[in-house]
Amino acid sequence: MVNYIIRRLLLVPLLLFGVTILIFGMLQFLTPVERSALYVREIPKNERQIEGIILKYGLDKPLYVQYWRWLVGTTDQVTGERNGGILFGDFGWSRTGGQPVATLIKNRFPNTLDLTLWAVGPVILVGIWLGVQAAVHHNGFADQAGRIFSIVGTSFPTFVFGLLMLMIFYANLQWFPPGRLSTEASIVVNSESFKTYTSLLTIDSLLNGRFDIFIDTLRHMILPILTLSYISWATFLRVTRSSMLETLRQDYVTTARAKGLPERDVIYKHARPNAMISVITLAGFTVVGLMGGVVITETVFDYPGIGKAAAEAAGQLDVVTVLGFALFNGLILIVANVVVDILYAFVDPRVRLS
Amino acid sequence: MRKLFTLFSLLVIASLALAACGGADTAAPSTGGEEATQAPSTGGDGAATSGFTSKDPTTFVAVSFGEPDLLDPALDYETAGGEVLQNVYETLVTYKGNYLSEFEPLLAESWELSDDGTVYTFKLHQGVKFHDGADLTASDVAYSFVRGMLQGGGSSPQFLIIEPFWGVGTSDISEMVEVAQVFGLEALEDGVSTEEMDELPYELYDNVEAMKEVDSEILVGVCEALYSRFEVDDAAGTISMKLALPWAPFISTIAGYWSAAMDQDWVAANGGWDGSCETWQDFYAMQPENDPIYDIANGTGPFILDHWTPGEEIVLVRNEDYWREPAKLERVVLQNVGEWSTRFAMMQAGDADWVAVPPENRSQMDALVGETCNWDAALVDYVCEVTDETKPFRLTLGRSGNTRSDIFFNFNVANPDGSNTYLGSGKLDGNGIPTDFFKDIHVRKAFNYCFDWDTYIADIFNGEAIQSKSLAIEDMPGYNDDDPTYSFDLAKCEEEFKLADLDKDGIPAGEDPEGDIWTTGFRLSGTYNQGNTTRQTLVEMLSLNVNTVNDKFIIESVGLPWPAFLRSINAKLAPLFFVGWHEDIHDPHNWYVPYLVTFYANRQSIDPEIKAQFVPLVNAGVLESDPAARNEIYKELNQLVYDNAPGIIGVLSTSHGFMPRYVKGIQYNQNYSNFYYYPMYKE
Amino acid sequence: MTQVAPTGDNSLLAESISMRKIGRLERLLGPDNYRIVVGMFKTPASIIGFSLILFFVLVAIAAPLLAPPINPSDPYRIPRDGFRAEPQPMGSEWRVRQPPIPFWWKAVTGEEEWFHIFGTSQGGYDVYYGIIWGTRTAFTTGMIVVVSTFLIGIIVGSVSAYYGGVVDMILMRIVDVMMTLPFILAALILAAVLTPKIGRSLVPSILALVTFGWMGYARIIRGDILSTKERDYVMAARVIGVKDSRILFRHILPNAIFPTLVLASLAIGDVVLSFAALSFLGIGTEIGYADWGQVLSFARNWIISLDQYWYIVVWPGLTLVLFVMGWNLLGDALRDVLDPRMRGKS
Repeated sequence: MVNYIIRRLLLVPLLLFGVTILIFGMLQFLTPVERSALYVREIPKNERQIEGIILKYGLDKPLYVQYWRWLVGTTDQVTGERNGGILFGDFGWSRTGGQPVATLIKNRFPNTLDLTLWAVGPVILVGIWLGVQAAVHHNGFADQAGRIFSIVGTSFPTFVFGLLMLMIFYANLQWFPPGRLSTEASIVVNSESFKTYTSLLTIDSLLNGRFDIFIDTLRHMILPILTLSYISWATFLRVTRSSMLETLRQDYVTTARAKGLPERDVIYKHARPNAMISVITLAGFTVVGLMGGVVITETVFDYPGIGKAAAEAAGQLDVVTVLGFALFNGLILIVANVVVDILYAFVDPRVRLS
Repeated sequence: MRKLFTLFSLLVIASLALAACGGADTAAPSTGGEEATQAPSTGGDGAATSGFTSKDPTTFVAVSFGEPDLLDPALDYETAGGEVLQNVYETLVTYKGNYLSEFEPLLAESWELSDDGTVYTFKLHQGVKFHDGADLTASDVAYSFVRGMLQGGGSSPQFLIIEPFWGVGTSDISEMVEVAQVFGLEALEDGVSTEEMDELPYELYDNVEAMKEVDSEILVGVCEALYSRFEVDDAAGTISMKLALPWAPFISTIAGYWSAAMDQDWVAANGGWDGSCETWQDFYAMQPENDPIYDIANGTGPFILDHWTPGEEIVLVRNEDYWREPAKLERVVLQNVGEWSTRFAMMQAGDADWVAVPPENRSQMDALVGETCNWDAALVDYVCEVTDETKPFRLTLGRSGNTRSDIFFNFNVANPDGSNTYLGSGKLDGNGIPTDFFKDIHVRKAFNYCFDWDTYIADIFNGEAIQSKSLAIEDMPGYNDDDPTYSFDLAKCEEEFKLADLDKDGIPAGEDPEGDIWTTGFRLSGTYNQGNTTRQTLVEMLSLNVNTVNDKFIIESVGLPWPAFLRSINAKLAPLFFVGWHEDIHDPHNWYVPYLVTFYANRQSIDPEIKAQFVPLVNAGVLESDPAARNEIYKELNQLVYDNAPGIIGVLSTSHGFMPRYVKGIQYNQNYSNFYYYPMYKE
Repeated sequence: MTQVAPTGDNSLLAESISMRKIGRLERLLGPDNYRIVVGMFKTPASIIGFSLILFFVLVAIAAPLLAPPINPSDPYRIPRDGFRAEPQPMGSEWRVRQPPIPFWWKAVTGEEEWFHIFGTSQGGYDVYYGIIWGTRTAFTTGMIVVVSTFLIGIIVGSVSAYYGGVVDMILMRIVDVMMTLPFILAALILAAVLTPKIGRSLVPSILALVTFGWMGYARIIRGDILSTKERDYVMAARVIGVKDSRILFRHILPNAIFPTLVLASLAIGDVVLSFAALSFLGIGTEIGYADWGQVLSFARNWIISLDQYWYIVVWPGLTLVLFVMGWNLLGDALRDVLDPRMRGKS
């Protein structure tokens, strides 16, 4: 098991290298002038302005030269100062974010993490509960209702769902506004007296004893959480259900029943733990899926997380920013996978033995 | 059980449909309107009172889209950053109220102009302090001008200031460095002539690395030559500036935020240029990531930059130690929300005081208007009338704008290896056009006659626009009601097409037995930047009308993503393109030059002979300071533009703005980037 | 693998073994695959799913009759009634450039002239026309993406499983790399890069969805082949000296592919959703092209005033949801059938 995890960790640099090459490769479809469009908002006054940009950022250089620049940065010919270079810890400058990529991720990621934590919890708990109910009452009311819920859920485009939520709960009812914080709360959070502990606003507000800020934060997060969750709920429900159904047919469950154990114990003590094995895998996927899901959700609700920033960067071909996100996202994905593997070892005796 | 499931599925589908239709039945438009009107009053005491109050009368929340590039007044060149800069920094002079071409002193108490029209002397206000407590001195002002011009570069607005200081046609300090290299430093003394400009290699423009390698004697010399234009007396608080030429729009040029006064010590302390002539090349043509003061600000203005969270908000707080009366608003929050639906919802919920409304969504806001104001050109103000006490918004209408979308013909389209697909086949065979298609004056005129201004105004602008009379815009020399313009006339369009001679056999197309444009037809692409629905409609309308005249005439509307559009224009690949111009300063020079001499003129490859007719008039116009005499010069130019028809001049849309009625003290001046918050307050 | 029809006299066995007739279709597909096909028609859910899909197929086929194009050579361009930004309500009069009147128009509506059945969206685009012709777009893009991803998946998956070793290692690492980026983000970048090259059309989005959509199939096929490889009949073929390639193509692939193929064909719904998402993020077909995602994104700026302009969201939205739901209903039924653990139950 330990060997296996080490092997996987050794693959990490290779994967990240592959991803960055992939992104660089995609950009090669464009000509240098087209790539300079990121740096020029208006049609330039002078044609030479574009040449200057191309020269400055080396946009006309071959792929490997540009990749090397990104890895080690550039050295000023006169002053000898190094500028950039991912190997030296400099992620570069995000043109679309208007700040260094590292700062951008540092500012935005806590927001996304806050959101996903709140979204993952309900998804897993409610999803598992619904799934177990559906399996126990196979073909019963709960099963059919869950089925309809999951089919309708997966048939709805996220952005339509999100915008409908906004229309009902914000424009009409004025309960849940978009964005991150109301203006009044933002003034408090940006003031000196508000201490930052974790950067997660929901937690920090409680640690600061500001319950009003906590409520304000949650009000802004409820709609994105709902939107982010409902598709995952559907998938979760389905997997738990079929995994549970399978387990309920296993011989040992029949044995347990034959022994005369109460049905409650059979289901919750014997069957459910085993059904959780495939659910854990799915939980890993859900975290990863949420990272993708935040792209659209955050855009719709104007929620300042990394998904929105990544979508903007991708749309404007801001390669440096996209690379930063790709690396970051890759790391999260890998960490999630390793965690899943370790959880496996705890839950599944067969894995532990091998 | 299966049956139950089927039943459920049907129910879900039915309820979906019902919910959809039900939404319409239960919420008739009137209820929607009522709900919305009540919204902003939630913080107040109910909707029954006539005055609508805001949630927080001391904070103004403006929600728009777009993000500043950087907050360096010398280098930023877009409105999102401009809005911050014009409230945080201050200039010597500023716009007077709603007037576009009348000015009043700001940091300067007064100013005077020498008899030859080239030396401006400003007397500074005493006791003005920067936000960090330092005093504003005349040297700071000189430093700010020099810093702007030296750092400049193609993406900054500094070309506006370079030109009066160095001569017609100059745009960047790199040109002066090259002049010094080619002609010696002495050549800089009396400015730069057009002849000298013609011989420059233009290799330093925006080329940061090459600039650092230029001989240091030349670099120091250029910097010193620039300093020598400013005469400073810190004790008396005066500064005088020597221009290369008498420059009619000089005062309006330096009223923009790009001429704001900065604190030399503060810039240096934060890692910026310290004013030394030895090192300025290290700061030339900086991009935001290299600018140490890209996200901090220290001005003399009524507001202090509190924080900028990119992608979210910029917060300005009142400067309590302001040298005039402190501002009425305590706090201004500029939020960045890309989605219109979200902005609108914020407005309805009373979370925003002002939001940017796209023209196509105005009807949604119109329903909430309770006070209508029409522009009165004589009063230079809006005249208001309350129409419905219960509705929360004030609508301002009728002032013509300072932006225009136009149509450009490319006289000589580039066609490397015959690969330019915008030309179709590249030949006049009915499936394409030759590269010099628009060189034929009759084709250009025909396109003009085929453009339907009235439908354009009615459909796109809802009638709220006027056909522009000339390249200049309303309310400036060069714009007269009797300037010659084209009008929509399909018969004349046909006539002009028949007069064209594209196979160059000397026989007009209408009579050509061998066939010409009228019999073979043509196909070409009209390109615009995708997402701009106005320009898309321009192409489609033109396409439709040309096709009505002759169904062999085909214009394809091609919306290009920004990178491809940029390339098509920069490489001169687009035969027919649709772009716009937003004026930097309210002066005809800012319109005629880009259209006829530089910018678009180059991209259009306008014939040198035609351009040679324009240039003397354009140059004479800017040097003449008497408005009436200027107008005469530009009138002549307008006739030339009409005769040569290098493009189709679009329409000037008139204002259509929304503001809650409780907001007062607004200065309506389009030359500001959005709002100047100093005089504004909420009731 | 061909099925051998039972021959000889089995009547003696009739009492001990229950026998049933084996139809032609079952013989053609084999018992497992036959069960899948039959399963698709057995439950009410799958029947509803099938009816929905059939309905959309009919709409797609009859598009020229339901909404005759102005220019038959370019039917996907949604006709515009003027250029007004504000949406016009359902049933409003068609002012300029009416398309030809279809033969059923007068009989059904009782009107002489076209009107906007579902209203117009921002910019004067007729919603009804966009929905009708958008059905064809949905099927075309869905089919192309599904078939291409599936083919690439099969090729990569079978090559990987068949050769194993280094080839397998490299291919699976490539799959890993491509799955590291979130799908929608990866597709967004590629489509954004391709759009300036190819122009704004269906192609960049299709290419992007194909490029980042095949990895799942490759993994499944690879897994299926690896397990099929161990089956008795493959062993038997190997023992009697059948060539490797023949084993792969004649024995392994046909048995491994069918379940995945069926699932893949149902992914059309997901593809259409991804398309709509890309349109929403600003990458999609040229403006005015009949595509549901695009018609929906026209509505984007008006969704908050839905009480007034509901028709520009609800009709294309409902169409999209029903279309996807059709495939999902079918898919849900199939998943039960395919799940080997469910065999013999219900």
